[in-house]
Amino acid sequence: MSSTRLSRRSVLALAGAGLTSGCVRQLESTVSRDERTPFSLSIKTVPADTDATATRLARYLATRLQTVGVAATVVPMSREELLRDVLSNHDFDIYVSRLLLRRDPDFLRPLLHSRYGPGRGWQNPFGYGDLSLDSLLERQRTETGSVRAATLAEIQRRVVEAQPFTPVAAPRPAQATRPVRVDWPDGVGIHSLTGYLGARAVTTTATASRTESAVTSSSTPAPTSTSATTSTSATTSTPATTTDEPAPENELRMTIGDSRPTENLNPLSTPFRSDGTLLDLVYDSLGRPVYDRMRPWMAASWEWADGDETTLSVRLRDDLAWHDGEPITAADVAFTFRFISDTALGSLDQPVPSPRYRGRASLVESVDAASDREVTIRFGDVSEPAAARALTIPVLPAHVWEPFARPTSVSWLDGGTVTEALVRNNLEPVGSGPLRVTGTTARESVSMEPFEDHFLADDALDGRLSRFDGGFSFDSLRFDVVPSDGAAVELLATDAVDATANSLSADSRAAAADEPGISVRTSRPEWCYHVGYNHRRPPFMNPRFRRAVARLVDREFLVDSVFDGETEPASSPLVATTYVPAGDAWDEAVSELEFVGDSGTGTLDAERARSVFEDAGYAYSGDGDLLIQE
Amino acid sequence: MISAQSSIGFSPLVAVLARVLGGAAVALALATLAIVGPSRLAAAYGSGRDRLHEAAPYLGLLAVVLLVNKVARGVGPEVSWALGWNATGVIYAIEGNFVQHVQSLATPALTAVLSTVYLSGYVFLLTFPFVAYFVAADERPLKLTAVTYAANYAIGLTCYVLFISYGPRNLLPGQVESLLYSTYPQTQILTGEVNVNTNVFPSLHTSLSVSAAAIAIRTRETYPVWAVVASVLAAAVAFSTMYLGIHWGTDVVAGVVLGVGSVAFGDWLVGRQSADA
Repeated sequence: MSSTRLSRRSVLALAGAGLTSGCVRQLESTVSRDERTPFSLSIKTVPADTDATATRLARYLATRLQTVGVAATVVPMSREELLRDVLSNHDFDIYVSRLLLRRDPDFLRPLLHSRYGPGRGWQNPFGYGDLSLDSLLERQRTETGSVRAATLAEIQRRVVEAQPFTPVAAPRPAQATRPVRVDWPDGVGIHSLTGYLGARAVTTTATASRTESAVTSSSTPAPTSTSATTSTSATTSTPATTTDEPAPENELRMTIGDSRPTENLNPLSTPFRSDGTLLDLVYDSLGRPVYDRMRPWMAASWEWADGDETTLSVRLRDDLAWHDGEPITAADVAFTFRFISDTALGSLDQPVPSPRYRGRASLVESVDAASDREVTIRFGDVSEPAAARALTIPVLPAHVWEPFARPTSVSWLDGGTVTEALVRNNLEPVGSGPLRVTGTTARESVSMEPFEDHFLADDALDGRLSRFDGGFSFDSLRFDVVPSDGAAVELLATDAVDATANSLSADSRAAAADEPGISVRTSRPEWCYHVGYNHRRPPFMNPRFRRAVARLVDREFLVDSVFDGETEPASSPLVATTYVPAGDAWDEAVSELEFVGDSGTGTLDAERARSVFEDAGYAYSGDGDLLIQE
Repeated sequence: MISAQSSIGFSPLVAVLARVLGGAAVALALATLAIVGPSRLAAAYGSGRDRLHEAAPYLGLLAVVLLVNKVARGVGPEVSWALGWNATGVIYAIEGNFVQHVQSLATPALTAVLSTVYLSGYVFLLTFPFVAYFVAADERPLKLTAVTYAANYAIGLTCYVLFISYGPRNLLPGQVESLLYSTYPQTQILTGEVNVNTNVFPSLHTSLSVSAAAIAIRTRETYPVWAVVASVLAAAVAFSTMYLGIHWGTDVVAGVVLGVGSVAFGDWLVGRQSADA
């Protein structure tokens, strides 16, 4: 793609950013040459209502930093404001947040590659730059098997060593549900595309067995669904589509903790999106990971060209339609890939890519409509598993999005040139997914209903997708915003909802476990809590400083006190994959960053911790404040 | 009054609202009988229209401020974030773990009492003056109450737009317990409808309660019992906001200043209007 133009833009952005701060710094240094000042910093995160785990991690870090003489303040912010500051404006010292984990480790490439430093979105928000890591990140996407595993091991060793950010732990999402009302599919999280498509209303005969539901939690590392034994054996599930009488009550009612989808349903928006599950229901993609394998979804089939492992021919299913009734053609697919690479469609001097999909779009060189139903995708030098990620990009209707390919003037919050496509709220999304949005109420709810022209609505699907025959089985799906986990459990207890889409914190899990008729299901980790450093600001560009901060983190203690004890501590961002290395070299790299104190108690050895900072080249004032060169 | 196990099957919001307002209504009815008394009510009967006419401009002012308040709370948070003055860290730096110390007094019984005070007691404290002063011979306290409330809201709202500040329960999970919402999670659905969690400085619960109590003390000759009840209740409301982990001590101090200042402003405005008349 247009790499030369992009990098020129990157350089300009870097220069622009450096100019102002550089001038100020110069001025400062002439005023007070060689003066070292006590270091103060802010830790941005979300408030406890939003994510108590993140707030507690931030508080933990702040108190430990204070112990080593750094004046650290926790700054709670709303989700979207935090993401704006971290991902768009790069205005932060340290932040604590969730990092979405993807199945394929290629997600590390946009996260850490220096080329993405000046951009927006979950692409190197840290501003980290290491050329040799860059080439390793590029290499792993061309490799497969043990060769790729070796490269990924090397990448992780370097990441642990340099600590561009510090991973803490990856909890297992825990959602509560009422098994007497809904039967959820095994092996997947409730709040997922496969979870919703596989959900079945429990027939009323089973409602008598209220007391049978038990609350259990899983401790096995394999992806499991707890309580499945109880709910599946006690109930006979019937797809609602087979009932004769109209059942207006047949609605699947969920709580969400995140109110952002009620105000914005734009798949291209960065500050308003997290896991994107809601929009997975509304927007289809060419392929979908179904039970861990990438399967043709909107595509009927695909095949790699003979002797050319970079060209994929995709054939679309017949009779695909948008939610507004327009037919879907190969031209829409080609448009989508062009559009996410440049939402201005060439109308501006610089391309304005969608930050949310830059990593995935960068795998693709070109996408052409070979016919009405056939698409040819040319990948760069990319191995098959990495290339498959590009197939999960949501396909957008050209007739809806083309008019928004123009610059907007309301981008004052996001900085830089922005197109309307990136900031529009899209509250009446036209997708082609199995569910269609029927209404939203700001900060209250989102309602959906099954899309009757979806390919899943026809029966007789081939092999792997046959389990979704008939599509979403309820008459409607409703997400109600709740102010906290506790309120969600309360609504569940009064039978006002059927399940929580929001994952419960350890405390609310315990509260849910005490309620009769509620069962908690856990699934495998989808995000990792991490501490992000802004390498654009001193002293965070210094790896020794970051390593000293990383040694303040007692994962063992945090797993017991902040998480639920079953959570896996994470030293590597690939914790949820099979690529975490084993062996002495890895163990040594990890042990070099051991907590400076009594492991498991969270109690810092203040003397030693300070000496770690002194060894890193920092000095202390007479009052015990850590000094940095401004 | 609020039970954790709600048996009502319909909307939990309606259920909580019914309990909170029901509690306040019962208190209002009892206080009207005991403090105002049937004889005063009878005496006021017939002159209601004139009293209303007299106080109308002041009540109208309050209505306008409340309306603006309702609209502004919708757009307020966006303006706050654009300004970006996050006061949470400053407040915590000032007072540290004061609220945590307050919470060391917590018992289940005290939590139940103070939750009731925070929700129903507060509504009662603010509404009873309108009943009491409407039937009183002197219409000045009624005007003063309306103007004072309006001033509280106007200044409070300005602070809410200017500053972002999260309460202790949102900054210090694990240290400060969100007692109201962890004991009665359903109440958060109600307060979430009314309040935005970035608006804690100053405590409007405190300031309006202090204003109501200050005016009650002025009218102690007419309603001696109310002066005592209002003072005790106002103190309890102010304390409950900290005890329940919702407000910082700083918010409460600022609330007291705002409450007293608003009465002074009301005095000035009502006095001037009366002088003009």
